Formats: sequence, structure tokens, C-alpha cells
Amino acid sequence: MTPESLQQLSEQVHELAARRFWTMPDFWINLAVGIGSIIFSILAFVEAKRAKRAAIEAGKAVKLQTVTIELTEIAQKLDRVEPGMLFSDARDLLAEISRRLRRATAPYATDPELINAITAVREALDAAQESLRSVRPSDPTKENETPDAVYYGMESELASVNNCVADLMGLFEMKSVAPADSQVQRRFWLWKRAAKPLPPSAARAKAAGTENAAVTDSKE
Amino acid sequence: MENPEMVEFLRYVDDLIAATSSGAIEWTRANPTTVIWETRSTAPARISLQLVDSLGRTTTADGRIIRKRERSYLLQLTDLRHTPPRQRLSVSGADEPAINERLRRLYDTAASGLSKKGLEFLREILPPRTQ
Repeated sequence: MTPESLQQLSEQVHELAARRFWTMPDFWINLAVGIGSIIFSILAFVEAKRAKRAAIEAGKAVKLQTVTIELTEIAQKLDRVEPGMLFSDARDLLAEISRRLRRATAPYATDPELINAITAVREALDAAQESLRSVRPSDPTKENETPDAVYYGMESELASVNNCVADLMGLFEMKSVAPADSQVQRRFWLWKRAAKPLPPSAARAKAAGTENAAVTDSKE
Repeated sequence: MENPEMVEFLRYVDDLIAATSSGAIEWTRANPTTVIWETRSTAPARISLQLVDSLGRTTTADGRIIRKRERSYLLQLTDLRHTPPRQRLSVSGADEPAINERLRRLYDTAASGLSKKGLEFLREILPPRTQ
């Protein structure tokens, strides 16, 4: 290279170094592309989050429908109870519906919209277990001497379980149609439930541990 | 107002109570809440008496509906002359308080007798107390 060309090259480099970066068109093009990329990334993130929320809600809706179908099957089994039922059949039936009910309702045990109904179901199941113990035959070989004893001894408690299952079915169906809008609403329900003082009858009954006030409380 | 059948039935229950108290009738326990008496003397028959706990609804003075435990008794008479045995009579105390009360007395008398017999047998088999 000749000294003159080196001189020219050096002057060009000096000129470029002296120029401010924001006066160069490359900067603005890169800036626009960068900002566009960030915006589209944010939009993609928001959409992905919405899609995730929608997928979760869809999963919850499917779960609600599954639970409703399970409860319907349990109610149909309870409808088929009739006189002449053997103790072993009653024991197997109660074990099956107890297991299926607890499994179906366990994920919703703390849901403020369902907690009362789920508690009622569990109490009814406990009462049914108690009634099953009261009809255990002393001599299984002579169970046919009192063919209707198991049915009459458990009829009321099984009907109570059936009624509680029907209540739960209605609540689950309602929940699948109109789910809670957001976590804020859920937290509001929890706060409201914690802050609401119990009526005097319910407070006394809670201390005494009786059943009646639970029904009275629901009527109030 | 009591009908003639009910009056007659209550009289028969009174006879059962008296016979149970005197030991003429021996009841056996079918399950924790059911006692049965089987007779082969004149006509083979079986009487079963069951204690039934149920949830009933009552209205309080201020109009609220509450659930409470109700205890009733169910008496069934089975004719053993046929195969299969035929049920001749089924009376539930839930329908009539007077009947329920009488059946309660019969059940308590039968259950008490069973307990006494059990204790007597236990006393027989226990070794004598050393003083």
C-alpha cells in the first residue's frame, strides 16, 4: 500500500470513530429489530401463559365431569339396595362406595364451595359403618334366620349417604358450568369463611360435637 | 284412636313380655341389634325383634327443621311350616308410638335376659374366688 492510501484509510477510520453511534443507520435498524423481538417474546409469553391456564381449566373441567360420573355410579349402586341383602354384600358395598367417595372428593376437601357437602358425606359414611357393625351376625351360618335384618339396620344410613351424594353431584355439576374465576375469588371465599363467626347454635354444637347443628346451620 | 287389631297386638306383646320375664321364652341374639325366638311346640314359627336407628326430621318450636336420631323396633313373625318360610306379620314401631314403646319393653326384657344368662354361664365357668 502507498503512503497516500494508508493516509486516506487512516482518515476514514478516524472519521468513523469520531461519529456518534446514534447517527448511524445500523444502530436504528438493530434497535428496531431488538425491540420488535422483545415485544413478540413478551406476547408469546403471555399467550403461552394463557394457554397454560386454559389447559389447566380444561383439565379441571374434565376432572369435575369424571367425578360427577363417579358419583352417579355410586348413587345407582345405592339405589339397588333391597331387602334380603347379606352382611357380606353390605360390607363389600360400603367398602366400595366409601373408597370411591373419598377418592373422588379428596382433591376438593378444602374447596370452600364443597367443604360442607364433603364433610356431610364423610359423616354419613361413618354412620353407615356404625350401622353395619350393629347388624354383624353372631353366627354367620344362621344369617338366613333374619334375612332382612341387614337391610333394615342400614336402610336409613345408606339413604342418608345417597342424599349426600346427590347434594355433591349438584354442586359438582354447578361447578363445572360456572367455575370460580380466579385465585383471588378463591382466596376471598377462604377469608370470608374464616372471618364469619359461627351462629350460637353451631358454636354450641361444635363444642358438643353433635350432628344437629350442622343441619341447622345450613338452614340459617 | 286405637283400632281393634292394634289393641289385640299390644295384648300379645304384653304376653310375650310376661313370658320372657318368667323365662318361658328363650331369646337368642342374631346380631347386636336383633333378638329371635324360635318355637317348634305347636306351629313352628320364628319371631325376630330388631332395634332400628334412623335419622328422622322434626320441626322445632321456631319452625326450623332439624334431624335427630329416632329409635324404633321392628317385629317380624315367620311361619316355618313352609319352604321357604313365609312372613306372616311385620310390625314397625316407627308407625305408632304406642306400639314402639311396647316393643321397646319387649326388646329390653329379652336383651336383659340374654345378658343375665350370659353372666350366669360366666359365673359357672369361673374358678371360685380365693379369700
